Amino acid sequence: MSAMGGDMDMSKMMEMLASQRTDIKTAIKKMLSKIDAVTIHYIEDCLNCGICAPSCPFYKAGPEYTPVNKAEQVRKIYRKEMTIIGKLLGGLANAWEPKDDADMKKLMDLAYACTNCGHCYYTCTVGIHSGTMVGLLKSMLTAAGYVPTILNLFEAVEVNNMHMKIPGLAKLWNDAITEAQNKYGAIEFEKKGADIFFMGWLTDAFMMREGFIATIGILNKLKELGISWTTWKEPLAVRAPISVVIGRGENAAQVVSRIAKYVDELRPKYVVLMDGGYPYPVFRFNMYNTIVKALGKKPEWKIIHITELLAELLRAGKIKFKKSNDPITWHDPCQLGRHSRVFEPPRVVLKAASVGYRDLPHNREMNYCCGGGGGIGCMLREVRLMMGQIIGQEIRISPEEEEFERRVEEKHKIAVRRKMEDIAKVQPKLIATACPACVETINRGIRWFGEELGIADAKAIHISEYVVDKLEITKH
Amino acid sequence: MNVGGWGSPNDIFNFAVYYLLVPSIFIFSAGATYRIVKLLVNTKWSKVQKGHNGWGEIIKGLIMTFLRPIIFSAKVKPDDFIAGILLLHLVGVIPVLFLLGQHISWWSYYFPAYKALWIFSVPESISTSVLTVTSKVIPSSSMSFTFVNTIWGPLVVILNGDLMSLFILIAIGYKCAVRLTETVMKHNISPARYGDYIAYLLLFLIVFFGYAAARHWPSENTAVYRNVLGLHVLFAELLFMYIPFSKYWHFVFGYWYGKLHEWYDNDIKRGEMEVEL
Ligand code: SF4
Ligand code: SF4
Repeated sequence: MSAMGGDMDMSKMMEMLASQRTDIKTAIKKMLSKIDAVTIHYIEDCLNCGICAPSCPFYKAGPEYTPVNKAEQVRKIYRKEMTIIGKLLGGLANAWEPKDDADMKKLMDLAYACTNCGHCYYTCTVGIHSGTMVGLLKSMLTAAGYVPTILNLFEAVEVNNMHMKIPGLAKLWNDAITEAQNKYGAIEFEKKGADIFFMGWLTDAFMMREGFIATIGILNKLKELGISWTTWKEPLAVRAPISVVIGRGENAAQVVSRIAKYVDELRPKYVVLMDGGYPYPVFRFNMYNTIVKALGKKPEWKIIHITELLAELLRAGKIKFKKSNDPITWHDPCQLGRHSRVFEPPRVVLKAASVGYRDLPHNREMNYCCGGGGGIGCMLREVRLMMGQIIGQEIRISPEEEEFERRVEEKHKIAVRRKMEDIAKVQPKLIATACPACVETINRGIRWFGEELGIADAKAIHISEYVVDKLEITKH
Repeated sequence: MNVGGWGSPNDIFNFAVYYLLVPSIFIFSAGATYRIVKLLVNTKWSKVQKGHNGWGEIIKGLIMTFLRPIIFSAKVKPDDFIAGILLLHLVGVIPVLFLLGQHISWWSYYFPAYKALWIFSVPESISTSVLTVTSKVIPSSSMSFTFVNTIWGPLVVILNGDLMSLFILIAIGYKCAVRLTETVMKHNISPARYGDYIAYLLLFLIVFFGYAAARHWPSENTAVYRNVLGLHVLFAELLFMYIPFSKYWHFVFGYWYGKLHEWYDNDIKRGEMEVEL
């Protein structure tokens, strides 16, 4: 048996992944088949005004990384394949398509310089979401086998539901669950008809461990209000669906359907997430159709974030928090904030818990992305080495991919720095947030730039970690 | 095609006004229909768990959807804001096209209800405005409506055809210069698209010949005037035909569709969930 555990070792897994790739032409066709009215607008209506440019966390990495320049790659392919003028005039009509390995590698550099933060959507003159366009580009690259190894690997692990068969990963989950129960009492697993199903991911348990334990603590305390809750004994995904990060829609649908069917069996009223990253908008908006299709009906359960639950209970006067004066701020995860527009609940909670709360200079719609989304935060050398240790097998990549990894990290640093400068302006001691990529990235940013910017002793945490011990039930 | 049955294409004006108008409307309509139908057939409605948004937030969302990029560009790209938004659009093409006295008269000819906007008419030049704003004398006109009777008061110092045309020409010049410099320096913030130059050139020519015609430049000679004005109309028609196939589509559809879609997507569809526990 391999060190990774289970029935499959790394090389077999990589072989399986390689077998999924198609040729470039087919990958292009596949990408173009996904185009709908809204994407046609994104493709055809860009004014080329460049106003979106400064909103991008990668703006300062070079002019080629502006939202419009990244999205233009899809436009060029579209012109070449779908327009008469593009077919006839080629480059003169700004039409082009990748032909070989070198072209695809250039596109990789552009595609993995986007966190799909959505900032450019809000600042675009005509409402174009360049992040969605980069998502299309990624889907083409992935289909042709151009995908970062670590993301490819974890996607395969998730799609094949193998994560809990890998001892290192299973241990992280089990240890966190055990500690949560020791600290905050027993969990009733897989209970049917509970008010809440807590959809905690494997990544919650190891990337936001304290927050994960605290969320369980909060839910156990809420039992005093007569609110029942349950969760899965073993998560059905690493962080569903990883496939959306690399643009493999069919695999994402498979994972989301599997989870929806499982949750529906338990008949909860609410599905609560502590993760405010991509799973939240994916389940509530982007792939809700998939859920409806998988169940053959609209689900009875509503998808909410833990901060929406707490804010509502606060507003209803059912809970309160012991107040402190900690200098704390809230970093809007792009997916919970811009992509889902859940801006106020975390602020309601934090303001109730600390008089020292302050907003970041750039907040809500205009929040600065941390720079770690879109899989970028996982594509760094240090993360790859750490993940290798966890799964018990080194995740090896080619020297060429190592170069790519290094370039990704360089750009990532530029994006992270912008966030850190924004944070430094309000000098918080704590940066509460709700996405594992944000927690990791901001803490990494503090390591990289904290000393220089005077925030070396600040720390990013999941919001649950901050409020769990302050929570008081006021109405029974 | 000879619309109206009089005049022959013996000068550019005749050709533009009496021969090219209908074909240009036809090409525009065909292109516009194609683009709209393409969107309609590709429309997909997706189900979501909708946000629980109040009307106040939804209306504020609508306003901000339109304002946000303007505020953003004013803050972070002031040059683009001044050239692209302010000079080219807000005190450029929009008031010139819709409110310049001559243009109101043109619009009213085809759409009589447009006459209602006479009150907002913008004069051709600052001297005309001085006449109408400060003197009791209203310029005589053989037309059925008063030629200039501005309510803009001192604002006509800016809101006059002469100056606004110059604003447009300067803005186009600036935009092209930036784009060319970026291309030469290989530092393109946005892609170098050849179509943009065609678009800018057409607009430049329309404004340039409109400006020249209004000043009876280069000569007072009627034949010359007719040709210069004819070029103004001709290029306007070329641009009109080019609209559905170019970035100018934003003016009639793309901008409105994009902003309203963004508003629906962000402020109606998404948002906090209602929790009742
Ligand atoms: S979604 Fe964010 S990271 Fe991607 S292009 Fe737009 S601003 Fe840049
Ligand atoms: S702001 Fe919008 S229209 Fe302007 S370049 Fe960016 S994507 Fe294109």
